[in-house]
Amino acid sequence: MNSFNSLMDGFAGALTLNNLLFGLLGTILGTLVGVLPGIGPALAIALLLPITYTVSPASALIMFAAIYYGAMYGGSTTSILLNTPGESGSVITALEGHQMAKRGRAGAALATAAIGSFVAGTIATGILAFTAPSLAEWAIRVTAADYFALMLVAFTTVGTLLGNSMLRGMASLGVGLTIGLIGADLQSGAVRLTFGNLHAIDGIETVTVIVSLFALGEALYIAGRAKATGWSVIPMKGKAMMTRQDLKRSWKPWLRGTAIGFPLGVIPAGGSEVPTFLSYATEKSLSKNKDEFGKGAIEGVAGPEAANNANAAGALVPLLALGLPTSATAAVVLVAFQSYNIQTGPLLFVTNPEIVWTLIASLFVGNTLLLLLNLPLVKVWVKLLNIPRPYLFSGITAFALMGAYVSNNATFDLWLALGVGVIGFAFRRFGVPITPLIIGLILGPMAELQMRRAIQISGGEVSALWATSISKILYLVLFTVIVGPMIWNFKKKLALKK
Amino acid sequence: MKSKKIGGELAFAGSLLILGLIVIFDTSRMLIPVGEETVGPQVFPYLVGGFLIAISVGLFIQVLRGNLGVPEGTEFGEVIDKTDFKSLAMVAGSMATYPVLIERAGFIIATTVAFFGVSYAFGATKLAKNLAIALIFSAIVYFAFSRGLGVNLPAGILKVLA
Repeated sequence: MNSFNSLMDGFAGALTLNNLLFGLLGTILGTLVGVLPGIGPALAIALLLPITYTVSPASALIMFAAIYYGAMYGGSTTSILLNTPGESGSVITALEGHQMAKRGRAGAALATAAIGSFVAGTIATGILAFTAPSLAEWAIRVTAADYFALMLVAFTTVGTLLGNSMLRGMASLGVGLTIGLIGADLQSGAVRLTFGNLHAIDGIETVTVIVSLFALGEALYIAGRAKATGWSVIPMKGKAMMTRQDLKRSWKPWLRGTAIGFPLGVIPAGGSEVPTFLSYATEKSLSKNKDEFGKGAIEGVAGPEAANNANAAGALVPLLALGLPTSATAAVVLVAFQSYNIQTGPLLFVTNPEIVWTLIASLFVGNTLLLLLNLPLVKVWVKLLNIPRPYLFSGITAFALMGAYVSNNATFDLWLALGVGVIGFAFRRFGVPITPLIIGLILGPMAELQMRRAIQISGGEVSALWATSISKILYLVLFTVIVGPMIWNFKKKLALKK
Repeated sequence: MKSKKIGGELAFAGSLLILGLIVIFDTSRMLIPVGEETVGPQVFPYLVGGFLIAISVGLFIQVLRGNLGVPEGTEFGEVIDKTDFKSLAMVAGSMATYPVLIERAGFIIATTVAFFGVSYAFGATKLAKNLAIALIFSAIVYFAFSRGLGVNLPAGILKVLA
């Protein structure tokens, strides 16, 4: 009941003209970056972080959340019409969605994607509104040792579940942790890894790292390692609409997708690839029209799209209740909170209730705006793909360089950005996922703080790290996450040998 | 051809190893302020350094056993096997002009040069058109962010003109 009243207050905050405009701007920008290849929501929000100096926290966070949701709507549009998912959560959508478009059913695919995203997003945001506060209430009692264990679990799951090699995910995490070490240690003041550079004492600007990894790294990679092939947009006939038959085949996948996507967002499962894939696999095995899969089955669009949006809402639960980001975008939103000096974590609902509830309410509003914005205007968005690629890249590069510069107005940050861009190139070249680096960079210093705090409270006993029951359970989870896949692979190899 | 591929992979694993060693070396000669902390500022870096070294050793083994990384796909076209160093250098070089120019020549000139260079490298070969687009883009961004959003961008030598 309490949540409900707070949520109503949140709606009052979100529906002011000013915040509504920021929400609308966010949905437009979000759809834009979702449609445009090469820019994702994490990069878009990172580039917009400078506005946190001038805009009020609630407005900026509403806009960022709208970008987060909007990018997923936009991503599905390009998946379906172009077969180039503008965003990682839409990769699965392309499988069936693009086939549907080829058979002239683009309108139905777009409609089931958008309405499914709306249904899933709304249900998931509702669950978020009622679970996050109780999780936060419970989390207030969580000790430093538990936090440290929780972060280790987050590191491991993000590192292992992304990409196709656990070692490479871990390598990415290690580099992120190292970058997080640079600068003066907050507790003792000891200076680490600066090699006498005065700029580095303040630490490395997170925004600079994120922006250069995504934008500069991508530009370098495409320049060095890709051959441009033409884009062929499938022309869309008619309106984005579903028939009654389509709706009948879609509503169950929407609900199942929500059920799969939300919980996998709450636990640190490393983004939207896993839930969308699981949803696809589920729909395929449950479908009565199995032979249609691969040729454009609507269930294969409806389920993953719902899972994708529910997943995004789920990822906000640990972010708001624990201060723990589980995806690159959530990590950037955390940086936004930090730049307002808003302490994220269990106390957020107590210390800044108006901001959190306005944010949650704005998700409902944003979702509705996105549905209204996307279905009728889909053809307008597709036109964006006519921007010539050379200019698209130079635009992204220019924005990224500006973003790296303005956070401190220092050329040091720009040279650093170029270095990180080269790392981004190397990571793509060698199949190393990027998200673990960002999670390591942001969570590393927090993990160190919690570890030292836990040991200091106990008077130097290292065993304090696994003394509580929560931490014991978490280490058990950690063990399963690491060893489980190994046993699985081993068994698979044995089976293959036979 | 295969051995060449492994060369890059080994270099990647090697740089992780070097990074780990740097972290441990830097931590070992860290100046620690006097205090009564039970866990000092060295513990975590040692763990991170050790972690990096362990991962690099694992990668070496994986690569030598023929288990190579899969280059990431892109939304822009087909991934090629050989690195195109010419266009890579052009894009990297254009990016590198930015830190050199931003404070000396100002935002608009620095952005125009970087924008022009990157789009040229990506195939915008009509020079006049490219330059015009670069200049217009830079000017719009400059005025939108510095006047509109109040972000502090260096005017540089164009300040004299204005």
